[in-house]
Parts: sequence; structure tokens; C-alpha cells
Amino acid sequence: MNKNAAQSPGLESAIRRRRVLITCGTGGVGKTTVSASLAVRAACEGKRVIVITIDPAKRLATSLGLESLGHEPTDLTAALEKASGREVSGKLFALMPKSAESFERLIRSLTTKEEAVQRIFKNPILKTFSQEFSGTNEYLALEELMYFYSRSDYDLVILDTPPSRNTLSFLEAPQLMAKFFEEKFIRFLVIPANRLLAFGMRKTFSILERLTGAGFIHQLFDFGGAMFEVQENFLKKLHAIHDLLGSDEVGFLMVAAPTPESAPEIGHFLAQIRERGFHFDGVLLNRSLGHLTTNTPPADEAEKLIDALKARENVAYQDLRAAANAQRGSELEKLFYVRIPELARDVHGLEDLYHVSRLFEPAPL
Amino acid sequence: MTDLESSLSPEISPEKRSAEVSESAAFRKQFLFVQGKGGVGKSTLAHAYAQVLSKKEKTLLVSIEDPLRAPFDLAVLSPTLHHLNNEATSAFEEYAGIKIGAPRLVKVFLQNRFMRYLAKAAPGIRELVLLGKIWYERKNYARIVIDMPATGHGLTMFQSLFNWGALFDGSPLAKDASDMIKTFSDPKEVGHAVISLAEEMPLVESLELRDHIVRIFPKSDIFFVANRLFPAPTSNAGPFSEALPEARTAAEHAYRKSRLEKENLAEWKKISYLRVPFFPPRITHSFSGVVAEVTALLSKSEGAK
Repeated sequence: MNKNAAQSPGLESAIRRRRVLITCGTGGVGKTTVSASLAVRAACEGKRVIVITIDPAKRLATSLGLESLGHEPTDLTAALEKASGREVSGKLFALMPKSAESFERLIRSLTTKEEAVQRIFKNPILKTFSQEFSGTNEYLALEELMYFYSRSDYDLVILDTPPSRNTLSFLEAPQLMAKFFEEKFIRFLVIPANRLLAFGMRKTFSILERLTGAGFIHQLFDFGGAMFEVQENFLKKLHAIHDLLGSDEVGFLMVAAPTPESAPEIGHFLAQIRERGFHFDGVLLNRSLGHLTTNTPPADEAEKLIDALKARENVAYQDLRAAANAQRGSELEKLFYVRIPELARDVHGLEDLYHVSRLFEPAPL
Repeated sequence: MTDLESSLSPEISPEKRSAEVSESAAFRKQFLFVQGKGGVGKSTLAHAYAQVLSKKEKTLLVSIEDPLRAPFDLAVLSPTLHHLNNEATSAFEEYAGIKIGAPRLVKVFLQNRFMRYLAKAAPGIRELVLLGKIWYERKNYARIVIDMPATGHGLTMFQSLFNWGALFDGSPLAKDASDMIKTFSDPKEVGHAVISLAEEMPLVESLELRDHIVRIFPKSDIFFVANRLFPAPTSNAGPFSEALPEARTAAEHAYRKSRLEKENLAEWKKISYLRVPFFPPRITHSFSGVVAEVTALLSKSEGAK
């Protein structure tokens, strides 16, 4: 590893140990830039790494200075070598999945029968789900994650999640889907005679039909029939994703800005991660102004603003320290914190991402 | 510096012009969707807009699934300003109650496990009921300001109306969806405030967001806000290296940052927008302080018709 880069034992250990790193956080904290820089760092350390962004706003492309990323991974290794002026012992790939293609690959991975595939594609409910902004991004991201994880040509998959204070909905997706596809329900949809079995179910369906119309109920039964054939494989897949998320091959990272809101947000997120038995690796604090030297007294309004922001940042560090101290003996104590300075210009390409990847420094916590 | 800078450029096509109106129009709609990329200050602006509107009329501020507040919690901020934490499961239950009527049937329906998983797992249903709740409140409040989730999730809320509306074709739910589309596509009723920072990615994304909104609701009134603009430095930045992405001193950072913001705002050169300066945090937990400053600024903008 390059001796110019600051060492952060926690971060290096996460890159070395994990096969999947999932970056989470609210928007505007530079999650995409940080995820891409992390991938650059891992590639420089010899990992064959792929960074996947499922942010519907397609921001990774801008960070990487690419017009648009295709559905197949783009090999950026040569470009990284050029940008960094050094030999890169690993490999760097980037991918921005497209809903329709991910959906098709998912369905085709479940069955080899063309007839079954076509029946699924024809169902209006499933057709709707393959479109952009249909709310399926979370499911499809996990499918992409699983696909690249299971391929032997990548050592590390970095998944950049959509900005959210509720990243949990995303983590719950496979389990929720699995429950829905447990045979009881799907069997019910396939064999309508089963409606005789339960009064509650019969009643529920008659209400649902009254509200949503006979056409929808017909499509729902067709959906059940179409999915019945692939149900077993789909369930297997959903369980496999859920097991993977909880395994120690997967680490979760939080990207946050050093503001007083971060400590409660990190605390909330950590509690949710812990509840699910997932592994939380640490916090990357981006957009720090701590490195800037100021005049005393401040020379103008701009310096006054920077002073005020630095003071606020110090409060954020105090809050995080206090939170860590209150958690002695728990995993919060073991977490690493990395501080990344706020840049004075926009990140334009691999050269900048390489530079940022060298700036990760352990925060004095 | 004037707060309301620039006007519509004559180069804009008539379609674009109808989609981008003066920001003072923001104060004349029943629904105001405050949108943009994550972290650009949507909550601050939504709170400030709601504060200004509530001085004249009964106003509801809607947050979407704030995990730090109780679901469906309704905070009374003032006699004319209420703040709802909208949440999908509660909205779904409330809606089922209204639609089904008989309490016994509602109970059977909501307690059915199949229904519970369907409501939670079906993509876009949560977004649909969240929007339904907002629409429903139009009878109770003269003004509704919505602090929308970041770009992608916000658009899913609008798109879900069309997706599920089509699937429920001919049913009472489709009727509601079509009524909602009618309301939300009416520029007399609805405004979209697109918030951005003067950074490259949020600015580009704000224009993409505008195009998506116009694709979903072609006649939309959309206004833009450039938030947290860095003050122009008056002191000397000293010598520095342009090659280094990060600055060394505060003076250099301020100089480069304000220069960068000016360059970046060229992305918006063809649109009219409101400029909101970066208010220094006066207290450590600064949210309400900043909201007060932005509210004062918006009050001025409301006067400038």
C-alpha cells in the first residue's frame, strides 16, 4: 500500500476481511464519492473490486467522470492507473444497474423455461415493477449485490445505497418478499378453491376485489400462477440474500457529515443494524472543515462562517465521543472513524477520487 | 445583492416557461412539494415556507417517515401550523378504514397476514398511501407543504399513482388515483420547489428532477432555490495550488468555494431562482435558528410579487 496514504487500521481491516461493504447514510454527505474512493483504495491494495450505485439519480457516473455507466460493469483499472500515475495491483469496476435489465436477469436466473419467463414478463403487475421509479430499486439492488458476490472474479463488492434515513426498508426487502412468497399465500393465489379454507381470507379477498376491481384480482391470480413455477428458486434466493446480509462477509459503513445531527442518526442506525444481527464496521465522516486554518479574529463574513462551522463540527465530535464512551464494551467502542476533508472544488474523475482515497484519516476520537 | 435575482430568459421555449415560474408563485398554491437531492436543505425550506404560509392560513407541514418521531404524530407548532409525521402503515390503515367502512370488516382486512405482507412488500404501495394521506388532508388545511424524500423516492410517490391507478382500473381505488392525478397535475393547486446547493451534482440533478416532474405532470409549476450560498470573501486568498482539491486555509477555501459556486450556477443560467445565503450556525443545534433566518428571507420574497 502507498505509504503516503494515512493508515486507518479499522478501515484497512474492513477492506481486507469483508467481501461486501454496504455504505449507508442520509443524502448530501458525499456517499457516492466516498464509496467510489473506497473502491479506488481497495483496488490500489490489490482487491478486484466493483462499486455498485443504485441511487436512481445516477450520480456515480458523474463522480467517475463517465457520461453514463452501462448495465455491464465498466473496467476502470487502466483509467485509474493513468489517473494515479501508479501501478494498480487490483482491479476497479463500476456499475449502475438499470431496473429493466436487473429485473430480466433476476427472472431468468429463476428458471430456464422460456414459457415461464414469458408468462412473468406478460403479467401487468410484474411489468409495472420493472420500470424506473416503481419502488423496486431496493429489491433489485440486493439482486445485483448477490449476483456479483457469487461471481469469482470479484474480491469485494461495494454497494452504495440510496440516500435514506430509513435504510432499513432496504434491508427488510428480502424478508418481506420471502414471507409473501411462503407457499401458503402463493398456493392460495394459484388454487382459488383454497378460498374455502379460511373465512378471513375469503372476506379479505372480497374486500380487496371491491376496492381494487375484478381486473386487478385477475392479474393478482395470474401473478400468483406465474410466480408459482419459480417460487421455490425465488424463495431460495431471498433466503440466501438475507443470510448473506447477516454473515460476517458483509460489513455496513455509515457515511455522515460532522454535524450535531450525526450522533443521533448514527445511534439510530446502529441500533437497527444490531437488532438484525448485521455487522457494523464504522463511520466515515465526510466534508470536514477541521483542516482549514483561520485568522483570529476572522477577516470577513466568509471566515466567520467557516469558524462557526468548525465550532459546530467540534460539537459533533464531542457528541460522538460521548456516545462511544457510553457504549463501553459494545461494538460502538470498536468502531473506526475516518475523517475526510471538504473539498474546495467538485470531484471530477478518477484522479480526484484517487486523491480523496489518500485523505481518509483516522479521526482523533 | 438582491435576493430575487435574474428573470426568465427569452431563450426558453414556451413549454419550459410554463414549467418554471417566479418563486413568489410558491405562496399561491394549496400544495407545495419541496424537493431535491438529499442534504440540500429541503427540511429547512419546507419549515420556512410553512411558517410564512401559516401567518395567513391554516397550514400543514408534512414530513415523510421521520424515524426519530412517532408514526402519524401531529405536532401543533402554532394554532395555524401543524406538523404531521406521515407514515405508510398508519396511512394504509386509515385509508382502509375510510374505504371499507364497517369496523368489523376493516379489522378482518387489516389483520389478514396476506394483506399485511402485500401492503408492505408490494413496491410503490407505501408511496401511494403516503401521497393519498397528503391528498386527503386538503379538506382540513388551506395550505400543505410537503418535505419530500430525496429525488428518487419522491418521484416514486408520483409515479405510483399512475402505476397502481392503471392496475386497479375501473375500481374505487382507481377513481381516487385519477382524482389525485387531477389535483396534483393542476398548476393552480400545486407547486414544486426544487432546492439545490450551488454544487455541480445537485444542480445537474435538480434539472433532471424538473424533467422527471414535467414528464409525470406536464403542466407543473416549478420554482428553484439555490440554498446555502457561500459569502464572497473580501480578504486575500494568498497563493495556492489549483491542483489540490482541498484548501489549506479558510481564506483560500472561501475564495475557491464562492468562485466554484458562481461557475456551477451557470447550470441554472436559463432559470429564475431564489438565492438563500449560508447562514452561520449561531447555536450548536442550529436547525431552528436557520429556519428563522430563511423564513425572514422568504417573507420578503412573498412580498415581491
